[in-house]
Amino acid sequence: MLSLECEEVLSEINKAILDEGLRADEEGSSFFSHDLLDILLGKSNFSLFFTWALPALSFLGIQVSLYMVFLYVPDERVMGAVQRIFYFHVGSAFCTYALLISVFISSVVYLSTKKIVWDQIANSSVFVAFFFSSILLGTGMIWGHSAWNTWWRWEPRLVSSLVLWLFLLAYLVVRGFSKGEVSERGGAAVIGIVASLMVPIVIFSVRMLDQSQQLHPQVAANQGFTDPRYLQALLVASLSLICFSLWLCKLRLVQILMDERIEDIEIDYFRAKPKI
Amino acid sequence: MTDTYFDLFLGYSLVWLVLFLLLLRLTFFQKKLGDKISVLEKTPGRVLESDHKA
Repeated sequence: MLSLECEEVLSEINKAILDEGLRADEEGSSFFSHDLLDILLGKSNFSLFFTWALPALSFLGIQVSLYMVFLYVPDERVMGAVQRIFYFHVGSAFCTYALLISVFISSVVYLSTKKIVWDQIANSSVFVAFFFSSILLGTGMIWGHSAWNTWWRWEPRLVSSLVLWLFLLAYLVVRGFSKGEVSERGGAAVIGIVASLMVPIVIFSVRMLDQSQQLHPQVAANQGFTDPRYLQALLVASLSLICFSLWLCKLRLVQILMDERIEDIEIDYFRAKPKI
Repeated sequence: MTDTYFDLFLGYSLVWLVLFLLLLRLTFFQKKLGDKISVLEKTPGRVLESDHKA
């Protein structure tokens, strides 16, 4: 009796997996995902760039940035040593914005074409954008505690950055509970697009109030780099962090593509042996 | 003060080196796993059969 019930349950599971596999085939998703994984892990120049050049550029770039931050740039006149956190704070902000542009493009393309590979690119970009956005908030709080004597202030730049971080968190939570349904992927894409639309708000939020009404500086807006070394260090740190973020994105994307591929292998197995 | 900055530079460089090596290891691990998955794709069911045997 028990074995009959087990058999029924197993056949239901089997049917569900088969349906899932057929649906994925209908969307034509497997073809594009498999192609991309082959490109990323193959022996093409594109793959070699991601396997060798990007890690090398990231390593050297961040090493040079550390040298410039600690041994090249002079102490800032008012804030002193703590100002050196600025290069990684602003660099992380640039990375978050760049990744969110990728999220916006891939989410829009996913919604219009329904090809899963675009959803996977958006998913990996959001993951890394969340990481850099957390660094942005963390370093900002450390800097604020030292420079303003408070960890947090409810002013436009800080609040908009926090809202952006929460949108990214919402995206990851939705994906965490998602079972890969088309509607769930679509919902996540909409959250991704809304999060991307926060970027211009975050950038221009610093101009909403006058400098006298907020503590967050408007250095770039006021052309405030008096020494060229500050700008040089910022440029090197930002470019290296962008290389690093691309590398992280690739690692996350390969992981997502592999998960999908392993699921396909399991589906093929049940297709080959429908009776357990 | 310069000595302190130099120590900080060395400390952070070491942390970055460890992180970099871990990520590099992950990069090559993924490459190896990709090859194994390609083999499995040609013989579907191999993993699960071995699981059943275990």
